[in-house]
Formats: sequence, structure tokens, C-alpha cells
Amino acid sequence: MKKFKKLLALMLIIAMTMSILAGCGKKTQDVTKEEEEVEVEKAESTGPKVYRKSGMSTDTLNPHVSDSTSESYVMELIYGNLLDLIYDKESEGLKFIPNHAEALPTTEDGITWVFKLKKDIKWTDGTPIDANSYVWSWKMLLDPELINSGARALFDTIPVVNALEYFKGEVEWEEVGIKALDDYTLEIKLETQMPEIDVLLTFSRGYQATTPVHKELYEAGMKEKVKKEGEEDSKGLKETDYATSLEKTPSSGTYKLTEWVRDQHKVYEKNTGTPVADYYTPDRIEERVISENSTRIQLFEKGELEAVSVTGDDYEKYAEDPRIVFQEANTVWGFYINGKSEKNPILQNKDLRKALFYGINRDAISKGVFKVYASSPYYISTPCMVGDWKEGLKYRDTEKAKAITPEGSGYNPELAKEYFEKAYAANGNKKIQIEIIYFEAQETMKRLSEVAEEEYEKLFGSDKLDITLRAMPPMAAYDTYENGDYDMGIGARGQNTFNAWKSMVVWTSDFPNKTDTMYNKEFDELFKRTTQGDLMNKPEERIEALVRMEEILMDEIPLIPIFQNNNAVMYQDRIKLITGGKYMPEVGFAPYQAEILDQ
Amino acid sequence: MDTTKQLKEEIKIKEKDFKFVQLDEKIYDEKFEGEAIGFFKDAMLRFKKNRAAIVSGWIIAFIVFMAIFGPMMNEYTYREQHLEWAFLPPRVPGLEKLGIFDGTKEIRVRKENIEEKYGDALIKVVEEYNVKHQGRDVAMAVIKVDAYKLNEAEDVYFWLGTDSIGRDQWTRLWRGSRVSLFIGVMAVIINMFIGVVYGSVSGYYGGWIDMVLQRITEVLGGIPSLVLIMLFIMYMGAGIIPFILAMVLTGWIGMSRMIRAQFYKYKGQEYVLASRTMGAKDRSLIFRHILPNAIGPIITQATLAVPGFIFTESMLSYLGLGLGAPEPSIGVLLAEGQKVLLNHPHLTLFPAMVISILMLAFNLFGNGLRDAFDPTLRGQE
Repeated sequence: MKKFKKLLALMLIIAMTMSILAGCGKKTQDVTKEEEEVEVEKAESTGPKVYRKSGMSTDTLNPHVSDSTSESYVMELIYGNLLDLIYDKESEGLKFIPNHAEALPTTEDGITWVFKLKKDIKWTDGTPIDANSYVWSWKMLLDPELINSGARALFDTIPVVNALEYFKGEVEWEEVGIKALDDYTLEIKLETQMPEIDVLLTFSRGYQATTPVHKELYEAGMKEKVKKEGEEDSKGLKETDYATSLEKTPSSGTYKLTEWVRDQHKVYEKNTGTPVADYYTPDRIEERVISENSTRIQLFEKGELEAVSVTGDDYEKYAEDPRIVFQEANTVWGFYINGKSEKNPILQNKDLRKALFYGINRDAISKGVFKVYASSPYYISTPCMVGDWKEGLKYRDTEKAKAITPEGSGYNPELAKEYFEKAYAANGNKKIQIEIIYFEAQETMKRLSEVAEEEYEKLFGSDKLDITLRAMPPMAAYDTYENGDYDMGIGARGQNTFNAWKSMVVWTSDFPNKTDTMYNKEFDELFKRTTQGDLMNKPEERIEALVRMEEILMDEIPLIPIFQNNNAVMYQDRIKLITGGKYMPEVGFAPYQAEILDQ
Repeated sequence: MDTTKQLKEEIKIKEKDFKFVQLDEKIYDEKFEGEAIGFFKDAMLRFKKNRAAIVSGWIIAFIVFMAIFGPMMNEYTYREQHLEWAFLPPRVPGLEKLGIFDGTKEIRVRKENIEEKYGDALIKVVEEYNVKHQGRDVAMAVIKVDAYKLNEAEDVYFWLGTDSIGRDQWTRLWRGSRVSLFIGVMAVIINMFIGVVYGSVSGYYGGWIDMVLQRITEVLGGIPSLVLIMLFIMYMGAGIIPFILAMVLTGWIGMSRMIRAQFYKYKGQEYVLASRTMGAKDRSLIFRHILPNAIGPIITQATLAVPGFIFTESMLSYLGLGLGAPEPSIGVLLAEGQKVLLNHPHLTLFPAMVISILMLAFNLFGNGLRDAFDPTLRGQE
């Protein structure tokens, strides 16, 4: 028995040593293999220039229905449009260049616009793109049965003749102001005269809803819409699964999508020979879905991402890093305030709203919580331009706008207290209670509201004002705002940098998804006059009207503006930005035009 | 044969050989030495022998004490902000001289800025390195600075540092512990109440009542409790009361099952029968005669459930379903700390320590109680 045990032990030992040795052997083999691979990679690294980015997951790349920014970042790469907008190194500014079109559009009266198309434009599968493809795409975009969310590009952004009527199913397609004069000529008729910039923007860049769609794939994916229970009838009768997977996503742009693993990664390869390909430097773009910014920063540190944004707590660590560049956001964040509240009627009191406007310590939030953001006691963000966009005159730099902007960060404790005392008296000298909604699971949003709570109560006295905080998921919060069932709540309002007037639509009385509670007739009137009425062609008066509109906002205070989210971004050293760290509207730092150095 | 004969002759017992030892005294039963030991006393005796449980008990007492009095130990409140003093590292008078809790931290700066920006606060340069930027080298350095000096807070001491908006972490930690403990203990008390009543009724009456009640608990228990809790909190909104209610939703099932089993065990015993024969009512049978037998298991199970609820609360807070700001709880603090773990580890470290120790202590304490109340161990040792 003992002998057997010894034998067994011996055998076990032998077996183990064997397995270890075998493991070793395999390992060494693997290592050499890996080394070889590395060497091969190194040898190739002078070849294609790769740009590695982080992104968020995308549901659909159908330009007609997509409404998320993460999707637009993909679409701008893979789809082409009539024009493209790039950063021009020579003029150090933006430049429209023709992409599918032969040249910029021509117009005589600002109403009829004519595009000439290039003759050899093709989808990646070889299907040609001509004027008829565009007309068909736009017909689909406006289709009354599909009810695409992107359709507003052709009746809201620019008012194409009868586009809205066709969308509503009131007229036939023949009556819409979109015609193919021949195979390579497109004619677009507008209802009113529009500034050039609006027309150019509508038809430039691949993420716009006006980018063409691939007819065969689009039709192949078309089906009757299965109505979900409880869904309204107006949501459309048909839908298409166009561009919801790799096979169904064709490319008409500078890059083609070669890999798409949902919620994980995407790979884009350059379509050499496409009209604007020469302006873009990466030969291959690799995108990974990373939702946590801290993960992004770690990958950036390891050199696996080309760019990362650093704000708040992360910014502290990189504040003095030479690679930091600053964005200029076209969005103003703040607290919506319910001026029509039935539940908490004191909010209807203008003095209280003004007290809250002047009593918010904006720097404490923009610098204290976010470190890099800019305090904004105004409603129209700094990058918004007025007048001729080529001159780049910014609205906030005009004398008239400066005259109505509160000084500094707009924090004026004395004035705020004065207003508050009036409101307090109006409330019958009773404690005023306000609930602030903030976005759940977002640390900075929570902190922002905590700071606001503390600052307000400190300023007005916690015996007179009681602020409570309530967490909500962002979507639910916006629903609550739309229903008007709130006191105050975090929210943001973005502006079109080239047409700030148009962006004012969100404050008008009959805006469909209205989240604020301002109903001002003068404002509505001015909005109409500056976007489609008599002030369209009177630049000076148009600016004055914009100033007046902002003044009305500052008087009504449907939102207490707090900060503009100017993020700090770091680029890897191998990405040599051609804008020289300058942030441009629309194209940002133009990272895809940057010079990419070998590692 | 002869020898026996001889012996018989030699040993002869006569009457005079005997005498009365205590003819005049009365004889009583001997008294027990020591005292009679009751159930709880016996348990206590055995509990005392369990060192780990005793230590755990003291730790729990300490944390409870700190949760009550800790926030009052300095002049800061849990929501008082000092934005200019954000992310200060821990600093304790006395200890700072030993090189720990001295309010220093390492930061990365451009080398050219060291003198000008950090002159006084600089303690030492830890590391120098270069960052390549657009073809030229930028000299950078990791330096150790006195964060308090840097932020002009030389005379202040934040024992456990400050959070992102300059709130005192010490006060927040103990207030958070208070909230977490409160949620845990309240949830247990309510669960115990529901569980005891439900389990008693189900176990005592048996039959179809038991059938129906047990099917109800099975249906309830079949729903994944985490999903139920999350949906409930989403519906009710975050807060202390919703949290407690959410944990009560299905939390009482375990207790009710245990009580039911106890009732099945005791309700057929002779003393119960005797009592019933003498006309005892159901209520007194349940609460006076049977339930007290379950007191040991109830206490044990309740103690062991507390850390479970504290943990659930922390987990939900960590996932972002936490209490409404600015109220802290251990989970909320951990969620905040985790975001800045790499840069400011002190914000994660201390809440993590408190919750770990608390969980461990409650579990060891509960195990000690379980062993102490275990009747099979009675009289051993």
C-alpha cells in the first residue's frame, strides 16, 4: 500500500512538472510569435494613419430619424452631402467647399437656389448618386407616412415651398419646391428669402438630414409600422430599418463603415478618391464605445485614444498640461423656473425670479464645481455670430448686447436681496419653499444643485427660503418640465451659432416641446419678424431685435442661466491640430484635418 | 476452605461497634451550589466566551456612538461648503508631525510654475519629467505640496479631508453612518414586526390559512427583490423613508418563515395543550406561550439582517439611486469618492473602512448571538 502511494505521488509529480514544462514551452512559443507580430506592426506603422476615438453607442444611422449627437458624429464621417464645411488654414476660418456638388449653389433672389452636381459620385457599392437620388431622398425625408424627425430641416430650418404641406399630407409631391432640372442639376425653391449661411449649412455635412439615402436599401427595409400599445396615431405608418446594421449602412462620404459591433466598436476606412477626401488626414478611424470619462482618461494616458475631455475633478490634475485646449460651447445651462406654477404660486412673482437670477453665485458653480466652465448671466452663448458670418462678429461682442448683459458673472447679492425681500413680503412673510430637480446618477449635476442650494439659503437666509433637491433621470425631468409640474430644474438651451434668431424658437409660445413657461407676445412677434418677416434683410435692426428678445428673457426669466459648458480637451501629441488650439463653431478643433504624426 | 473459616471467625461485628452520628440533628437536602441560570443568563455566559463577538459588540457600540456624536465633534456641518477648500487631504493636529494626516498631496505642474505658484507650499519635488508637445519638450514635475498652505487654510484642520465642494468629510462620514444605520435598523424593526405577526398567524393556525399565506409569500419572494426595490425607489423618489419601505417590501419573508417554523415546532407540545385545555385564548397562546421560545432566533436573525440592509442601501446609492442631496449615507459617499478614486483616495478610503468594519462586526456579533442562543449548546463547557 505504501509503495503504491509513493508511486502515485511520483507520478503526480512527474505529471505536474510535465504540465509546467509544457506550459513553459507553449508560452515561449507564444512570446516569439507576439514579438514577430509587433515587429510586423512596427514595419507597417509608416503606412496608414490611424485616428482612435471614443464614442457612445448608436441606434440608427438613418439620417432621417437620427436625433442623437453620438449618431451625428458617425454620420458626418460616412455620409457626404452637397457641400462640406472645413477649417481653412489660410483664412484661419471656416470654409464651405463643394462635395457632391460641383460648386457652391447659385441664387439670384435668395429664394431659388440651384446646385450643380458632380458626375461621378457613387455609393461605396457603385450605385451612382445624381440629382434624382437627392430628390428621392428628400421625398422620403418629407414622406407623410414615415414622419421623420429630420424632416424639419426642409420646412423649419429653411422653408422649402410646400414642404410642410406635403409632410402633413395636404399636397402632392409635384407641388413641393424641389426639382431635378436634369440629372445633375437641383433646384430648390424657398417660401421666403433666406440668408446664404442657412442654406449652405442645411446642405452641408453628412450628419444633416439632407444627406442622400441609398434607394434600394432604404426601400428594402421599409415595412408597415408595428404599433406599440399606447402609441399615438400620429407617429407614422411606415418605418425602415435602413442603416441599423453594417450591411444596411452604405457610405457616400469620405469614410466607409467597415466594422460595427453594436455598443462596442466601429471602424472606418477612408474612401480614397471621393471629392473631399484630400482634406481629411486619417486613413482609418477606430472608435470604441466608452461611456465613463474616467475610463477615457485612462486610455488616453495609455496612448490608446487621441482626445479626451477633462472637466471638474479631472481638470485639477491636468490644469497645467500643455496639451489642454478649450472648447467654446454654444449651450447655456441653468435652472428652468416655473413662472406659471399653480402648486407654488410665489414662483409667478417676478421679483422672486429676479432675486434667484441675481442671487446665484455663478462662479461658485462654473469655477468651483466644473473648474473650466464660463459663468453666463445671459441666454445667447458666446460663439453665436451676427451679421456676415465670414467676418465672425460675435453677438456678445456687440455694444448693444453688452449694454444689457449683467456685469461680471451677474451675481449681485445686494440687488438679489432687495428683490427677495419684496417677494418675501408678497408671500405674506412666510418661508418660501422651492424644489430643484437635478439629473440622477450624474455627480456634477448633483454637486451643482448642492452648491446652488447652499448659496441661495446662505444669501437669503434659511429661515426665509427652503430649497429641497430632488433627483430624476434626465428624460423624466424633461417630461416633468413639459408638463409644467415643477418648481425649478436643471436644463440646457443650445443655439445655432450662425443663426441665433432661429434658436429662439424654443422660447416662443407655440413651440411643440416647450420646457419653459414663458408666453410673451412681443417675443413671439420679434421671433417671427427676424426669422421669416420684414427684419430678415435689415441686419442692424435684426441685431437690435435679438437684443430685445434677450432683454425680454432677462425680464421674464423662464430659466436662470448659470454657465456655458466650455470643456477642456486634451489631444495626443501626435495629433497636430491645424486650428492652433482655436475652437471653431461646427468643426471644433477639426481633428480629422489635423496632421497625424507617427508614433 | 480453612482460610475462610479463619477469616469468618476473626471478623465478628458486634453492636457496640456502631454509634449514631447525628441522632439529634435534622437532615435537609443539600442546597445547589451556584445560582439557577435562566435562558438569557446562560446565553450571556456563552456569548461572553466568544471573544470575536465581544470585540464586534464594542466596535458596533463605537460606531453607533460616533454616528450620534461624531458630527458634533467639530464646528462644520454636513452641508457647509467651502468651495475654495475643495479636495483637501486629511489633516489631524498632532498626527501631522508624524508624516501622516499632514495635509499634503502630490500634484503635477509645469516646472516653470513651481516657484511662482507653489513657492511657500512646496515641500519637495518628487519627480521631474517631460511632456512632448508639438515637437518641443515641456518640463513638468510631480511635486508634494501642503494643500492647506496652498489654499490659504493654514489654521484649519479637516480630520478626514474635504470633498469636491469643500465639505468636511468627518462630519459627512458620521452623519452618513447615522443615516445608513438608521435605515438598516428601522428596516429590520419593521420587517421583524411584520414577519413575526405574519409567521405567527400562519404557523399557529395552519391549515388553509397557512396555505394561502405561504403562497402569498412565495409569489412575493419569487419577484427579484433588487428589481422590485429599484422600481419602487424610482417611483417613490429617493429618500430615507422610501428606502426603508423598499427594503420592507420583501424583507420580512425570511423572518416570517422562521417564526412559522418555530410555531410548528412548539404548538403541538404538551404544555401548550395543557394551557389550551385550561382555556387559554389564542392570543395568549401565541404571544405568551409559544413566541418567547423564538426570541433567540429572532434576535439573531435581526442582527444578521442589519448589515444586509446597510449593504443594500449602499449599493443602491452607489448605483446612483441614492438619497436626495445633500444628505450623505455611506453609499452616497462611496459613489462620490469612487469618481475621484485615483486623485483623491481619501474620499473612498474612510467610508469604505467604516462600512467594511461595520459589516464584519455585525456578522461576527450575529454569529456570536446565534451560538449563544443555540439550545443544543446549552450547558456545555
